[in-house]
Amino acid sequence: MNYYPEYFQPVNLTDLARLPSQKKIYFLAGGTDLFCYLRDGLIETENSIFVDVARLQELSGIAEEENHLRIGAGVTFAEISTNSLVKKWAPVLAIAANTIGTPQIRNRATIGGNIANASPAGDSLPALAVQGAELELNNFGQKRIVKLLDIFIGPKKTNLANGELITAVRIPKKNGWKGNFQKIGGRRSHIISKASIAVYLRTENSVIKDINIALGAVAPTVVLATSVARVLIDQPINQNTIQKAITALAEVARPVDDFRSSAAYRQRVLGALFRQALSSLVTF
Amino acid sequence: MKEIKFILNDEPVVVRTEPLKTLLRVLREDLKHTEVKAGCEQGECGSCTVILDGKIVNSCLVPIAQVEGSRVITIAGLSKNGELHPIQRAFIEEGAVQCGFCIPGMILSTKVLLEKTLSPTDEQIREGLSGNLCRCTGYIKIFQAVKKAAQYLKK
Repeated sequence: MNYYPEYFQPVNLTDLARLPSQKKIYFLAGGTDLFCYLRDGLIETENSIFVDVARLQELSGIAEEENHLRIGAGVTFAEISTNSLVKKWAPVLAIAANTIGTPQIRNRATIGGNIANASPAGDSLPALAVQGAELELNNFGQKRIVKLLDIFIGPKKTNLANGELITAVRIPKKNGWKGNFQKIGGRRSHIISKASIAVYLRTENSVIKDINIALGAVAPTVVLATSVARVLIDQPINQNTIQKAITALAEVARPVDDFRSSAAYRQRVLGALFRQALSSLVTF
Repeated sequence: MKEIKFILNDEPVVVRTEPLKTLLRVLREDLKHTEVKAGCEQGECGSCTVILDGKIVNSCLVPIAQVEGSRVITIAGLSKNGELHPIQRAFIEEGAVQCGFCIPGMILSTKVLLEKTLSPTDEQIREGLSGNLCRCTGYIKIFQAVKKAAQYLKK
């Protein structure tokens, strides 16, 4: 058996139309997940092809467009965490990006890769979910746009077709919103989340008028906690309402016991993460 | 097999190898640059850190095909004319090296950190070296070495 899958380096997106659809297609960008899978023998090398999209011009760049911020799928987390447009229009993502991996990983790992990998613990996912992100996709030259949350069907599983490439992420521009991201793991740096939370909200006179909350690593996929909003919107923010919100969050979370943490701990720590995130955004 | 050209420690090199072989394996096996250490080979430990086009990366996760035309610096590229680089000197003087396995990566991460600032705070050192694990020292002496190296480089 070959140790390596087949390798193909397209020059531009048009080349994607020539991909061998009978093989399992893995798009290779920073390689920070893919090379771990290869090392661990999780890739059937005989029937797989690595398509190297790292140098595709079409996947690079961060641009402000009329209604959204467009981040090329090949943009690294190092670029995202320091970019002024991201800080302005996608503040939750800017925070989350800086918590991913290590400096070495952030110099290589891309936002498109984090999405395609579809780990329940992928730290960009709750940040993108609260901001209503959409994805630009290219399937052998056929383009479409989907909501981020519509592609995840389970841990590390998406409904993208074989050979369908994420080319960009679109984040709707919203004025007057602010947000925060919190995660917890076994130590401070280079941690895969045991639990994470993203909060994005808009206040008027210290009263929450809109709020989106997404949870990571506590369910098979990233989840939006929509039921929590009504506990907080137009309510005084005090220990009573926060406790109600935490109870509502616990009903959304469906954590599991695994090698990284226990379900009971994840459930419990979620409330603390929520308090931390909220306290950075509103006074109570 | 694919022919890959890149600049290694300021010298042009050509290798003919599998395009998906990692930069780490190519450096160690094809080019005999065993100063680049293979630790976890899954991007956790930072032993295999090299500087690729000015940025630190885990060479265990970089396919050689993506190195075509790039500049790679390993620890062997730091000393010039038999003289140790000031960062290497500081690490030795401060006793920051015990088993030594993490040190090539640790020093390269320090180099990139000190290119950004020569007055790093403890938090900046912690952040800059957060991708390099040392299981011997407890990091105190490494922090001292980084600060001493910054002083040397200021002069």
